[in-house]
Parts: sequence; structure tokens; C-alpha cells
Amino acid sequence: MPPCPGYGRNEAAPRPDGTAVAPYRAANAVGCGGSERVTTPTIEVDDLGRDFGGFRAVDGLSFAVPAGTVFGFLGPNGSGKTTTIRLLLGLLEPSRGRATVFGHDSRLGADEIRRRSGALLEHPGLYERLTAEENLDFFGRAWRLSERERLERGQELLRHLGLWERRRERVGAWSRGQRQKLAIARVLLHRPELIFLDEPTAGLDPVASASLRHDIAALAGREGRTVFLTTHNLAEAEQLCGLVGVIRRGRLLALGHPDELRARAGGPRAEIVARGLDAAMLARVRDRPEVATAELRDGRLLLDLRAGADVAAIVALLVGGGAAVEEVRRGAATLEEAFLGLMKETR
Amino acid sequence: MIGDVWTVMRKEWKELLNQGSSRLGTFAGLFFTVAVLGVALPLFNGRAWAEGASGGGGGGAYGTIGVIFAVLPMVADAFAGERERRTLETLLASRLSDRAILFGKVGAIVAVGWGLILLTRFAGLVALNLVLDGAAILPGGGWWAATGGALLLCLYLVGVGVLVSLRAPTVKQASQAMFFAAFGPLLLVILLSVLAFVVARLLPAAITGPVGDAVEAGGWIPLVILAGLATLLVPVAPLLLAMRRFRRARLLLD
Repeated sequence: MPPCPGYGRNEAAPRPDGTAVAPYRAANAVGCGGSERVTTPTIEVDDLGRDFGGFRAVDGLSFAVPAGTVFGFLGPNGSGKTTTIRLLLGLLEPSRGRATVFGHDSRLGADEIRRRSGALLEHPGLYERLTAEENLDFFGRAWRLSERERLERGQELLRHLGLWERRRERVGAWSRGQRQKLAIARVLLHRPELIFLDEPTAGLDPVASASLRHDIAALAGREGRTVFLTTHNLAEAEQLCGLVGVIRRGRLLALGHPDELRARAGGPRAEIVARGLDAAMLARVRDRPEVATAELRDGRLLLDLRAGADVAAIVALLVGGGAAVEEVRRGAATLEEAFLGLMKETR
Repeated sequence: MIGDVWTVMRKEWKELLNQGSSRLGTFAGLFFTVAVLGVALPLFNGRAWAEGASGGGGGGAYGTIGVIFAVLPMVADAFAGERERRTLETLLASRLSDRAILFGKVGAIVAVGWGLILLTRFAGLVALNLVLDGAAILPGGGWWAATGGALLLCLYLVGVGVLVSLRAPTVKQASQAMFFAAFGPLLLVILLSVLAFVVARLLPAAITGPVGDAVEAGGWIPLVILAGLATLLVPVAPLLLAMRRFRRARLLLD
């Protein structure tokens, strides 16, 4: 079985005591040729569609999300991401096709789906006249947690998110970021098996965003929970997701591991910083068979390479031509570039 | 199910208590309501407020209507308010069943509305007994009937209000629609009653005579039963309709 390359940081989230945790391979089953553990999909969507009058918000979506995966659902505003989440939670009925979550049809078994899920939707969904404690108490009761569970879990989450000192304040007076944190606490309160997070880091400061990313990685990596994440932060998706779907105008444009999507956007790349680079040297580099494109910009040589390219040979060519090489960086297309490429293709 | 209904009711009450800038303000409002409708009005009307056949007469009616108007904003807020404040979707995405959400909201509002009516009416009895001399003042049949009627009125208004609130995008729109939806039929009933009275007066004795004879002979009993059933059905009908129309998949409007 081929090894699965680069699964992001959810692969081995550290425990609080600093020790590493074994990678959770199931998350990486899709798009990398197999996994150590075969899991049944938590979400299965087949030709799912939803119309609002004459407007087709979701159009023939088909995909599956294995259990324990962080699934990144990416797309521009109004592309159908939130509508898809609503369909999966049974908050909207599909116009066509079907969605099953935990094996339950979203039309018929939505109560069971919601019982096992937690959702942070477009808005924090908090009661602003209530305090943080009262909000968590209400949702804890809604999920039938015992009083002890509500208190202990509420305290644990509020402390973890740095909200403990403000627990008796009405949420209405809080900043957007603090409300977002409390909404995340609400989602995690009952330890759902499936977590929908619609733009979870929106409004959070960089420290809180990083902390949340770590938590999301740990939820999937350590606890085996499935996370359905929509985000405009593609670096975040690249870092967290074992599987990514790109949607536009309700249609799924691409589905796969972030590495696969990046590979589709182009082959390996290299950036060489050197003194003494000139047009003649650039022409000789362009003649190399492993170089697809070469560009000279601000003393940097930017190369798009073909698969299996030997950068050392190019560096030797430059040195031989009299250039003083200071730095060589290898890389590949980012998920952002892959995403933008997809958007451009379908414009 | 009962536990879930109770969960929603508790949440509604907490939101109501925290409505103003402080709970003190909420309790001051409650105190003012009881002072005016539960003490001043009964004392103004005297003994007849409790013992009269009309169940407190004008004073009792004012008290009930006053409380109803205090509760109407709560009804309009039931779903339209959650929608406006962007909490409805999260509530619907929770584990709570449709029935628990609906009954919890209805139960919370009816409990507050009718609870306030009970509070003002019993406060009136206490005030009358403390202030007026003479024999103890006990509530008559009319008083009890008016108190029970207030519950039915509460149920009716809450049912209509929830029905309207289910589809209204904002509280303001829900309030406006509710006014027409709730009071329209009531006004119609009053108008029809007046019309019937006038027509009865204008009709020749040859037609009204046999009806009057039948009523005097005891034929009014089926009419009373029919009226009683209608009285019970009218408040329950909007609630039944609201139950039928409460479907998660149709509540998100955008």
C-alpha cells in the first residue's frame, strides 16, 4: 500500500502532555490509494439538488465523507455550501437526490442526524439576552446532558476557550470573536460525532484561530470525529483537511486530498535566489527538458518543473554560468492556487 | 418530550426576564401591572368585581385585555424574533423535536399570560378583602368564568400569534400580521352578534315568536352546548393549525 503523503497536522495532534498521538489514517483514505483502517462514510450524498424557485442553489452533488475525516468544503460566497449543510441536517428538503448521514436519510432520519451532530452555522446562534452559562445550560439540556455533565463540560470548554471569567455576563455585550468562541463551545458541548463548522475562524483573532485549528485537528485525529468544515481560508483547509471538495454555483468542481488538488494545479516548483542571473542564463535554463516554464523576477528565478525534475542539475548550470546561488526553495502549487485555477476554469 | 418542552419553556422565561437592561426593571414592570390591574381596578369597581355575574364587569375585562396586550409582544417574538436574531437555525439544528419547540414556546407564553391574569385577579380579591369592610368577599361564578375565559383567550391569541410568527421574517411584521389575524375574527364575531341582535329586533313576531317560545321551553340547552364547544374549539384551532404547519424544512426563509 503506498504511503499517503502530507496529511496535514491532524495526522499527529499532540496530547496536552506533549506526547504525540498515532496518526488517524482513516481520514486519509480518500484520494491516496487506501488506508490502514476502512471506515464507512459518515456522510453520503448522491445527486443532491435544491432549488429555490428558479434558482438552483445545489446542483447534483455527489460525494462521501469517511468517518474521522476533516472534510473541507470550499467555494466562493453563494456557491451552495451553507445550503448543503442545511440539507444534511434536514433543515431543508432536497429537490432532487438524497443525502444520508450515519446511514439515515436526511428526509426521514433527520432527528437522529441532529442528535449525533453539532453545528456552527453562518451565525453564532447564541441567545444574547442570556449569559454564557445560561446558553450552554440550555443547549446541554437540549441534548439531555445530566446536570453534572453540563456543569463539568461547560466549565472545561469555557476555561479552554478563555471565557470562564465572563461566564455570567450576557452574551449580547460580547465581541464577535468571543461569541464565536462560545458558539464553538456550544457545538462541542455534547461531544457530537459529526461537527459542522461554517466559517469557524471568522472573527477570531490569530491566536484563537490557531488554537481552534489545533482543536479541530485533535477532534478528528485523536477522537475520530468527523468534521465538515467550510472556510474561505485555504491555508487553513490545506492544513486541516484530509479531503476537500470545491463547489461553485452549486456544482462540485473537484474532490480529493489537498495534495491531489494541488497536483492538478501544476507540477513541482522551485525558486532560486542568485546574483548574476541574466537573460542568456534564463534561456539556457528554459532549454532544459525538466523545466516547463522559467521566469526571472527581482533576482529570483521562478521555475515550474516537470515530474521528477532534478533541481541540482539546474543549480549546477547556473553556477557554471557564473551565477552566485544564495538560496534554493522547492515547492508545489498551494491549495489557494489550485482553488483559483478551478474558479478560473469554470468562469 | 415533557423534559424538552420544559427546557424550551425555561429558556423562554429566562430570555423574558433578561429582556430589559436589568431584571429590576422587569420586576418593576410586573409590580406596576399587578398594582394597576390587580389592585387599583378591583378597588375602583368594588365588591361587584368579585361577586358580580359579569365576572368583574368592565374592570375584569380591562384587566384581562391589559395583560393580553402585555403578552402579545412575546407571541410575535416566538419564531419571528428567533429568526430576526439569527438563533432560529441553531435552535432547529438542535436535538429538540418540532413538538418540543412548538409546545415549549406556546406553554411559556400561555403560562406567563394566564399566570399574570391569575396573579392580578387573586391580588384583586386580596386587596378587596383587606380594604373593604363587611363580610368576606369571595369570587362568584362570573369571576371564575372570566378567569377561565381569559385562559381560552390566551390560548387563542398565542395560537394565532405563533401561526403568524412561523412565517414572518421580522418581529414587526409578525406583530402587524398578528393584530389583524387575531383581532379580525374577534371583531367579526362581535359584529355578527350585534347584527343578529338588530335583525332579531327587526324581524316580525311571527318569525321570532316560535324561537323565543323554544328557548323558554328549554330549547336553549343545545345552543349553550354548541356555544361551549365552539368556545373551546376556537382557541384550539389555531394551535392545531400551527402544529400542522410547524415543519423544520419550511421554517428557514432565506
